[in-house]
Amino acid sequence: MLSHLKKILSYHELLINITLRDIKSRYKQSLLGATWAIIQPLSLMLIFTAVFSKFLHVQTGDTPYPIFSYCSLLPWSFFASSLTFAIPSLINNGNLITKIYFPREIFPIASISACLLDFLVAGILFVFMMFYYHIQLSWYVFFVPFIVCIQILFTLGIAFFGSAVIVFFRDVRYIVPLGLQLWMFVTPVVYPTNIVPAKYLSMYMLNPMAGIMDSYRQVILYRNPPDIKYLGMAVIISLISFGLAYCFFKKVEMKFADAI
Amino acid sequence: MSKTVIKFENVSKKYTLGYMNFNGFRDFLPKIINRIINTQNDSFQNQNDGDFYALKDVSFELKQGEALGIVGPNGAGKSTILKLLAHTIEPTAGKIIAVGKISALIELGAGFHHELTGRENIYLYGSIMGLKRKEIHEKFNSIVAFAELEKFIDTPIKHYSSGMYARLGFAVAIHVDPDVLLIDEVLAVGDMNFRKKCYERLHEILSKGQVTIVFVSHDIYRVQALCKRVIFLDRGCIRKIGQTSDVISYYYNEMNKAASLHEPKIHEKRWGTGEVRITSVSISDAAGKRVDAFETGSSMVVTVNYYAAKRIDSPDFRFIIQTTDGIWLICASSGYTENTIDFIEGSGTVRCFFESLPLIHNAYIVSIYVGSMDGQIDYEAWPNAAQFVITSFSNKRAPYLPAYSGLIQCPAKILHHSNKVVK
Repeated sequence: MLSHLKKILSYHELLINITLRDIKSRYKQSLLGATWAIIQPLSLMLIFTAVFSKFLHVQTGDTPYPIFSYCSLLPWSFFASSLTFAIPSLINNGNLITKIYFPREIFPIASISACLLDFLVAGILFVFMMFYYHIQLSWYVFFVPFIVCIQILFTLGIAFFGSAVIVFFRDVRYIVPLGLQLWMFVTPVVYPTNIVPAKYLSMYMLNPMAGIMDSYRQVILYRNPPDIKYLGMAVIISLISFGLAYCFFKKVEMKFADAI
Repeated sequence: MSKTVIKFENVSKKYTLGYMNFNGFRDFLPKIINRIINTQNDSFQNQNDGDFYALKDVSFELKQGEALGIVGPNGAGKSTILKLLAHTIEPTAGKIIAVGKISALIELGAGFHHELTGRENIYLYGSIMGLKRKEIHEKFNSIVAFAELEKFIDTPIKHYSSGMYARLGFAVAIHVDPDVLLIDEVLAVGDMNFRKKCYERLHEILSKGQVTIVFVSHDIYRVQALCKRVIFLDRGCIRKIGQTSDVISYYYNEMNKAASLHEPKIHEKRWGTGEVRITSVSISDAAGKRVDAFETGSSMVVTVNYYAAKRIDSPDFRFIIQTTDGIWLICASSGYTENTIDFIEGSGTVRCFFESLPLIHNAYIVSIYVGSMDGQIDYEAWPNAAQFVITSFSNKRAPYLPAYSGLIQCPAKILHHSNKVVK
């Protein structure tokens, strides 16, 4: 596995160029350009605020619902758009895969890197919102980069697995949007973790995204350390799924050109 | 001695047909697992599916600086060899050794993105082809100049014409400086001048003796001009490998045999008013023996039997020799010889004697047109009425130099006079 990683590093320029291509091509010939990176989570935040806060009266304690939900919608959008772009990335670049050899994981990695940039752009709005709602920060906020890394690791795992399987079974194309919708509701994105019934909680936390979302809130909004049990679980599952997915990806890599 | 850079040892590539046919859901799971995990294709065999060999037991090797041509009919496995060399697919059996940096000129511009400008695409495509950013930077001006796109380099390439697109792709690919260059049928695009420039560049690269080229094309002239060795591939097997001239003439003979099997189809493509019907066309040698293979400089007789339902005054019988790509090389017209035909009525025979065919080593088509003298009416037009091949030179003294063979041969005498005064 280490030798594979070394090989990817030697292709870093290609990775950068394909990432740039993905970013540039996404917003070319659009009026608002990269502003869309902000508009998407923002509009989700507005609609969820209306539904959950005004209609359903979900209790989020002292934290106003808009910032409460934006804090998790932002990383969730990153996760969802990463998978939306990364999983079909191999078949979308089929003409290259059948003709020229380079490590194929470049494509899903580049898709996720491009989404990471969107995530950072949309993060600027979050900083403004924190000022607006007078959110006090604690030192625990320095956990955020670490949590982002865990999330990326987990995303990579799913992306490697999904992008490899879709080469053989195009059904995955239809599973992805459906799966992401369902997944969002078993993850504390638009509601707090504490409304989950206690007897389901341990099963609920098997979903690494749940631990990750909860940790974001703890360290940013509640000035708490992340819950070690939940985050630890997310780290372990992310590592295992990444390892398995990457091995699987490398194992079937040479069949892509035949199957695409 | 130059070193071996490419070696194929008994390479086979098998595809299993009907891969997607699952017999019900119970078959489904084991099949997917097999299909994804299974590396040993042998353990996954279905009697109903049947296997298809894209390549079967192919062995050859290439030394540094050599140019190898691969010819063969569609589906022969030519592109499969290139894909195996480019390492995008793996062989089912056998071993492939390829040394050094391999650059594939397969389907130009496969790595381009329409929304990006020419400049951005040069960097993107360059890095896909394995160039470092610094190298692209150094070569940038030379790439743009070669592609002749100075004015449009900051225009999104979706506004490019297909010729500009191809020029940009080739310009980048040719600047990669690989050890092995794989070329697949890509040079058929672009205008004549650019194509000429590309081939000049390829010859220049070859003359330095560093780069090894594998060239796949249906354009036999180009294969002859570029390659000293050729593989004739047919249904996944090497039919012949060796000197270009030997392989190409063998290839033409074989293709000609194959074409004659399909002869009935050719008859359907006739047109005209039908006032004259050509009942048969045959090719024979000077002695009247029916043959379809000739040597350069030998004589050929084309015999046409016709039937005219009513009297037609001064018809014009035209005998045309074309290359297989349709280029008219020779047109013999009865209307413009001393033996004009006054009229035809009922059935008869017209013979055309070609004396000393000036043609080279290739396959040719004979087309027959019967029309009015002014060319306004076609009574009967029969393109591709017969085929023949020129197999080799009568003049065995001249070595066959494919790069300088040209389209036709004309007896020529070359004299030398030196102005140097001998003291």
